[in-house]
Amino acid sequence: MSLFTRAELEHFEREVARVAERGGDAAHRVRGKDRRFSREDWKLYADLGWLALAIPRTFDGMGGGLADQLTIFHAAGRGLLIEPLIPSLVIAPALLQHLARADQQQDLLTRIATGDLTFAFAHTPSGVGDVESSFRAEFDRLSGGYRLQGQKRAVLHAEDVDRLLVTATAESDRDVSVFLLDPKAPGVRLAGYQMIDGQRAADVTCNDALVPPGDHLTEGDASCALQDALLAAAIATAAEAVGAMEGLNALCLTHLKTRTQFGRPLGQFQVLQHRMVDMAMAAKQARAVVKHAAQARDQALSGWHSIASAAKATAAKAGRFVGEQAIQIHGGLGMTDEYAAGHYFKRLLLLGAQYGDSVYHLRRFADERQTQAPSTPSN
Amino acid sequence: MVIDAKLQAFREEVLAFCARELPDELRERVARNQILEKEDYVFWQKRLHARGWFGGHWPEAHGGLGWSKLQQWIFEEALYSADAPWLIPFGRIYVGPIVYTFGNEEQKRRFLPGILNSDVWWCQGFSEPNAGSDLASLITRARRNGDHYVLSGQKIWTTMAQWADMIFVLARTSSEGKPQSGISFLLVDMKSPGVTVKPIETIDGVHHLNEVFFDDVRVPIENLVGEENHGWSYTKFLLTHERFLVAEISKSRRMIRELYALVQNAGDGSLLTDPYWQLKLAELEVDATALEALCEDFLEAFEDGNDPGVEVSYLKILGSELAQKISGVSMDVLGRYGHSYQCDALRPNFPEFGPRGAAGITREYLHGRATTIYGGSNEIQRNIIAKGALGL
Repeated sequence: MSLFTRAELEHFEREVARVAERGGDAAHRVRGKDRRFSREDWKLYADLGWLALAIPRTFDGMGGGLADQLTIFHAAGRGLLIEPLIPSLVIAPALLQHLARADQQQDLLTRIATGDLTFAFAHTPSGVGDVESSFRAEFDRLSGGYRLQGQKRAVLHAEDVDRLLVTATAESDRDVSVFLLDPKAPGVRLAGYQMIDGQRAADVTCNDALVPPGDHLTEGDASCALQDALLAAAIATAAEAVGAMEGLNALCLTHLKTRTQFGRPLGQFQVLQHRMVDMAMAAKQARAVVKHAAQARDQALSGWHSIASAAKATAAKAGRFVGEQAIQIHGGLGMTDEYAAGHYFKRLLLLGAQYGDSVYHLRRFADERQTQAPSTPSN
Repeated sequence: MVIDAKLQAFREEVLAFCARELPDELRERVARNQILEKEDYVFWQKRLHARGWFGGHWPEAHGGLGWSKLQQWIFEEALYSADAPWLIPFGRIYVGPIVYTFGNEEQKRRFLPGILNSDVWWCQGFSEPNAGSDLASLITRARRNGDHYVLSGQKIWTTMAQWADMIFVLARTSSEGKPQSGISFLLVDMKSPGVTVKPIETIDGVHHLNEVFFDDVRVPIENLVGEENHGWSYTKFLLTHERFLVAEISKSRRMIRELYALVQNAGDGSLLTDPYWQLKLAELEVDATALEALCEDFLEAFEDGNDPGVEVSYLKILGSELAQKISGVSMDVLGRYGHSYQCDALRPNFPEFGPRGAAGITREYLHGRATTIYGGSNEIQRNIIAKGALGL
């Protein structure tokens, strides 16, 4: 059930777009070295109600769902925003509502809504299983808390957020656990660098980093909570990719209409017309399946996990296609750092891989398909 | 096509030369697609020239060894497979042959030695902001004024202009008739008053491209190659003869080798036994094998005196799209590491996160988007074949 009426949604979309796209050139936030998100912008988002959108009413939120948040993630893609929106507005609320104590939820979720608490998510570099990257959590008898050891790689926004949500394996059991970690705590070291799209990430190294007992989130099943959070994040990431594709397609369309060679606009050449149609079609279809996935999750439809994977796989494939073709359409201009197309392209590459690339999600989809229907017997 | 024993031996000789003469440190940087400086390219080119090979495909009369196209191809492919630095083409492949084919004796004397010994670095002044695919519509103007031309206008996408001593320029010397018939081929000293170079940073974070501005630059008429208004036909002649080299098959094979290593080391090492990746890698190798066969077919036809004509453009299309495909699959593997891109890791001795060579692979992918754009975009190449080979 959407928070908005149709008219309200249209108004909200316009307002969000206006804020995300202010500053003219879409790439101004990501061009150059060492771009960090501003707390001022984060406060602005809080004032506009973006951050409270999907926080439950009991915690001073608006009680909306992932589908209501799509507008924000589309805008984050179109405006090439660099704030930690997905970790703070999707992953943290999901994990906290599954795993944190009631008093913690009260404290942390209200602070997310007011813009006083930002999160990064330290799990794996791509957000899903593959690459070895973990913390070990050793129980500390003295404090009742845990000492974290190890290294996490490529944690987006780690240097600039208030808290890290980290996964770790407790020594006694091989299952994963979730902890809240203060990046400024003793024993925590961050080494930052740039990602392909200009945003910053850091390797987080823990050397006897002591986490107080309260910051070990144990009120629920961590594996289950993680799966939910990661798939929700995959949908949100796909939504951001849709926004980036739409921004990029708009640039391409303008270029095709205005750039002339051989005495006429490029858009009069049929090959380019068909190319542009394919790009518009890819973005439009991705937008639809992302919306479908978000609604399925909000309604807790059985099978929403598969739809989430379908949405992420579709958006990742579409993003790669649109990104590459946009550079081709723009010719030499598309290859420059100065023009926005290349920045959209690089953001789409990052988004395509985050929280599972298309191969990962096709696999997930196939695995779930196998468990649903028995395989056809061969003749 | 069977390559005869003599050329096989030549290939072995080139590989042995590289093993001996290419410093490990430089080979390593090339293999990892790291940034090379001007002195790296010049160093290697001078080594090849000392052996007589740098201008090997030039006629003997002009300081070359008179190699056939086939031998030239074998030479270039061997260099790629040995991880040798890219040979800068602007002097060796473009302006050198134009000067010895269409230039006068004085120009040959003045310009050819500097190209062969790499003492003179050339760049190419063709594209303009409003003349990309439609290069003939260029407007950089050369007005004749007695014993010199006055050159004014702007070139763009000029590779390595920041290192260049000379630039060869297509400039308009007449506005009568078709645009192609009013273009002249001029050789311009980059130190001439009025020449300004402005860097263009590209999406791979590297500076190689530039804008070059000509503000009433004096170009002596001795620097006009051939006849005024014939520059377009000289360029066409050149491009026709150089299309064989563009497939860069050994470079693609090298990229596939790197990809195998990447897949082998990714995650827990099990990727290589994963059917999905096995098929993907096999597909790429099959594509490279097929492209190599087509390339050899064209070379064989040429050796037999049957010029394949515009169909050779297939090599540009297939070669660039294969390289992009390989890069794309490499990026799929790198995505698991989160897609950092540390441009500092494009320089030696910088510790980088993730698989070795990740920065170079990312750079290759980003820069490689240009391979289907430059040298005549693949859309233009398809037009050329449609019209010239298929009669459409």
